[in-house]
This record gives sequence, C-alpha cells and structure tokens, in this order.
Amino acid sequence: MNVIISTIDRILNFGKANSLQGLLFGSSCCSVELSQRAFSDYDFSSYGLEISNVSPKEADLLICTGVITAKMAPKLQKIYQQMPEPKYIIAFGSCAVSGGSFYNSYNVIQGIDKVLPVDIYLPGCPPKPEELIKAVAKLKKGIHDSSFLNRKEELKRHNCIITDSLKDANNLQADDFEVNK
Amino acid sequence: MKISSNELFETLKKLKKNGFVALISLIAEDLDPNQADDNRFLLTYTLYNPVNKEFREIETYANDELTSVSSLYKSANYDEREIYDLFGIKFKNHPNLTRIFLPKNFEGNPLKNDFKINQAAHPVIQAAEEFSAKFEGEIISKYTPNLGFQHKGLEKSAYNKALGEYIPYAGKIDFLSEFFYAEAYISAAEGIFGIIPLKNAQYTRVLMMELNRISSHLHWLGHFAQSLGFKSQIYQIFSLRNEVLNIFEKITGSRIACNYYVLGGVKEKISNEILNYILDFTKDFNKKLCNLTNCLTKNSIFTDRTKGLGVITSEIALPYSITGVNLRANGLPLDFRKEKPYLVYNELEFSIPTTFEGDCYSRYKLRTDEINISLNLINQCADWLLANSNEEINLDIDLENIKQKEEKAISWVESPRGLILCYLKTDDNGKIKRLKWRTPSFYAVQLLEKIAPGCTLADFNTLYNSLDISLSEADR
Repeated sequence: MNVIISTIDRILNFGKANSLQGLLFGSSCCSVELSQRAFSDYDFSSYGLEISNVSPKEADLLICTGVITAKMAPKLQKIYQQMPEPKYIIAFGSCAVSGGSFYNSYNVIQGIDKVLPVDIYLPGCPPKPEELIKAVAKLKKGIHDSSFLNRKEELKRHNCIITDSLKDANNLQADDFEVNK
Repeated sequence: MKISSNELFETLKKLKKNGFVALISLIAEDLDPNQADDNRFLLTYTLYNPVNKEFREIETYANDELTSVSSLYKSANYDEREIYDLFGIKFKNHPNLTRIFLPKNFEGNPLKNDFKINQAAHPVIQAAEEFSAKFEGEIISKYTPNLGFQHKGLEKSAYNKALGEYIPYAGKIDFLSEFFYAEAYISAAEGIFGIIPLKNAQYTRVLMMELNRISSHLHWLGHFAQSLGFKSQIYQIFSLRNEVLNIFEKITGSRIACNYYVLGGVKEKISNEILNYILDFTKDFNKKLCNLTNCLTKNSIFTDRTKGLGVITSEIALPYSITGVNLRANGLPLDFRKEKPYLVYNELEFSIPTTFEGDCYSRYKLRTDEINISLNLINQCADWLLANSNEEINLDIDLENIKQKEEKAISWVESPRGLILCYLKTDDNGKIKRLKWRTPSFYAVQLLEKIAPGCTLADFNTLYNSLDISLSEADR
C-alpha cells in the first residue's frame, strides 16, 4: 500500500515542482528590483518560472513582495483564495518577512505570516536575484519531500487561519487570529 | 502673516482675486497637547502667483473646527481630508469629509502627539471598497480613487528622532526618485544647523540627482509603451535603465537603497575612473534612446491614440496645484530649478522645454526631451569635477557639539514628477517635532477625478499612465 502511495507521490511531485508558474504581487521597492533584473540579465524561464502577468486562477506560486498595510491585507487574502490547489508562497524582502524597517508604524503589518501560510522566507533589502533562484530550488526540494495526503496537516502548523471559502474570509473576527487555538 | 481663523476665508478670497491662483501646500502641526486655550494646531497655507512669480505664507491657529477653502482652491479638498484623517480637525462646508489613508473604522488620529502606538496594525480591520467608476456604455461618468494602500506612516515615525536617524527613511518614500527625497531632507536639516556644503559636494549631488531623473523617466517610458500595446520596447528600455543602476552600484555600492548623502556632503568622492566611465556612457546614450523612441513617434497607432487625449490646461492645473511636466505641457515654463535655485543650478546652463497642446503626446515628448537636458547637465558636472578633483569634499562637522541656528526649515526640490516640499521643525534638544512631505503625486490623483469622466475604458489606462503617478509617494 505504501509503495503505491509513494509512487503516486513521485509522479505528482515531479509535475508540481518542475512547472511552477509565478504570480508576482508587488507593492513597493522590491518589486521594481525583481522585475528589473528579470528582464535583462537573468533567465528565469529556464527554471520553469516565468514571472509574467498571470491571473491568480492559473498560478501556483505567489511571490509576495513589499510592504503590506492593514488596508491591503484583505485583498491579499482574496487573491490567495482564488488560486487553486496546490499553491505555495514565498515572502520576498524583509518587509514581507517581518515588517522590515517600519517596526513602529501604526499601519504596517509585521510580516505576511500573520495573514497567509508562508513556505519560504527570503530576507534582504532587496534580495539579489540569485537568492530567489536558491529559494525556488529549496522549495522544489520541499515539494519532492512532501506527500499529497499530508497537505491539510501542513497547513495547520501555520499561525494563521485558512478558510474554505471566500464568504468565510470576509466574516473573520479579531478573536480568530489568536495563536494556539 | 498670522490671522485669526474667522478671517481666513475672506483673506484667501481677496488674495485669489489679486492673482494668487495656486495653493501649493497646506501644513498642519500639533503644538502642545496640554494647551488650555484654542491654539493647539497651527496651519500654514502657501500661495503662488504665476504672473508675478510670488509666494506668500499665511498662518492660523485652530482647535477643532475651521472653514474649508475647497471652494476657492480645488487642491485643498484632499489636503483637508488628510488633516481630518491624521489630526481630527473638522472643516465646515467640505463636500466629502471622510478618511483618506486609514481604514474607515480606525479609531484615533495618529499624528496627534498624544496618540501612542500600542500594537502594530491588526490585519482584520476591514477596508471599504476600492476605486469605483460609473459607466454609461463605454464612457466613464464618475471616478473616485481610493488611496491608503501603501500608507506606511513615515511622518509619524520621525517624531522624537534625532536628525541623522531619519536619513534612511527619507529614501523609502518613493523608490524611483530616491535621491530627490534624500536631498530635500538633508538640505532642510542643514538649514537648521546653518551648514552649507562645499562646491565639490554640491556638484556631486546634482550629478546623482540628474542620473536618477533619467532612470525614473525610463521606467515611466517602459510602462507607458507597454500600456499601449508595445510589449517589446519595455525589455530594451529596462536594459538601458540597468546601465544607469550599474553606475549607482559603482559609486555607492547598491542599486536602489543608496543612502549616499550625509550632513555636510556625501559619503565618498567619485573617482576619476568612474567620471570617465560616465562621460563615455552619455556619448552613446542619445543614439540608443532615439532608436527606441523612433519606433513610437513614427508609428501612427501611437500618435492617433495619444494625441488629443487628456488635455490639461493651466486653468485646470493651477487650482489643483499641479507642477512638473503635467503643467509645462501647456506652455507655462514653471521649473523650480530656476524659480528657487538650490545647490549649483544657478551656475549651470540649461533650458526649460515646453509644448502647447497639453495632451498625452506632448507629455511623452517633454519627458524624452528632459532626458536629453539631464544628459547635458551630467556632462557639465562631470567636466567640472574632473577639472577640480584635488579639492576636499566633506566639511569637518563636530556632530556632538553642533548647535541649532533656527527652529524650522523648508526645502524645495524639483523631482521628475513635480515639486517636493519638506517642512522640518525641531525642539530645543534637537529632536524632530514635525516633518511634513508635500508630494506631487497626491495632487495628480485628485486631478484624475476631474479628467477621467468622458474618457472611454480603453483609453483610461493610457491616461493614467501619462500622468506619471507613483502611489507610494502619494500615500507616504
């Protein structure tokens, strides 16, 4: 029985890992640096990762850059809900990882992982494009090691709430965001 | 000139009849939270007369309520909404007094001095709807923008900081025109201490700013062409822009967040090798740029789509307090490098181009002309620096024992998008009490409310891109 599951895993992970299509959600300085480099010097499409204006319904990797404010967070959740499974997230830049240099601001959320389940954290201000390639390589390794049966348990380990539908996402209350619930 | 709040509306009405047509900035400040009488907030109005080229400042005190001047000056609409959002002052007779940056159920007014930040922002505060546009068929009939998605609170984070601590934050307001904001902050801080940098440092600062102007205009050009459907130009334009960012990396060590300016000068001298590299770079640049722009100007699809679209006349632009290329496209040559010269601009030779139609095509033409003028200025600065390379670049400043000469300072800088104004006020210990940025994109967003009705949906993207709006600059 385990042999069947592991061979199914190998086939599925091979497909998931080698054909990542990225959706760039950029709102600040990091996005300019990323798109600038992606155009001229480095060739991201050879890694299977074309950063282009793909709609969320066709993407499986969300690269989230820039500062996220309290007004922007519900929009980000809606974009994430529109992506079909399986989906992965990279938090790009130190403002997305933990709030960055805006540590004492009244409007900046200290990291995306209060809102979404993040897989890879990539600090830097801004990070170099070679580091993005390394992050994608680590993500691929992680995909190869995972199994399709464990997906829901993986999501529960994150400190955020994942709802099953868009209607539930709009009705969240402040109590739902407590840790260790 | 200080007047009482009852006389405010009438003095401004008289001044408007005498020719003071534009309200350049409205600055509010919290003086003392414990004050018992009615003088808690101080407001400063700056007016401009384009015929005499005269500026005038008017100050009033306020406590809770004031009359609104948005019926006289249209740009006061957004200014007063911002003051209502961040300070809590209410304005009578305002058409739409609602919050502009913060979410609608946010409690409190952050820029009051007794507002304490208990915790960082909670992500569950729900936002109202985004920008909404009403259509009749294909044509827009009403458009309301929604700001505040990138409001990082950069004015509040300056409160109670030392003057040198805030320098890296000044570059984060707008990632495309970073050297302009750094220059505006540094020259305001130097004005408080009474420092004048040496000539060598002044020429270096002008050189970096003009390089930044080129990279900002190229970024605009790539996105403008892409919005019209020319999807291959953007790759080549961005590889040209990459060469400018490589020059930044040679001089300062990083491409985007450079932090090159220091009180009294710059961090390091530019060596002669790099100056010769810059001079070689400017020789070939014009040819490469002409190859790219000829594809656009000689293309009838481009010209048919942009000519006659989004005309901004100076009767519309001046009440909305628009400066920069958007104003010069209709014949008024207002450039703050010549009106209020700062650094060494009064020693350099350059001209101010203008066009007369005021539509999207003339704005495109003006920005490509400005790139050539910047190249000329870069050549002049690099020649001067090569000829005087043996002089010193930085003043010797004893930062611990330096004393403040003045209490407040204002600096004016002309950026690729318009006029930047930095208002800086410190207290006796040397900590910042109030820092206010007047950014040009804030007013360009309000102008869209007036121009967008009457435009079809397919042309709206072109119109939006031709104004060169940077949202992180509008929200601060």
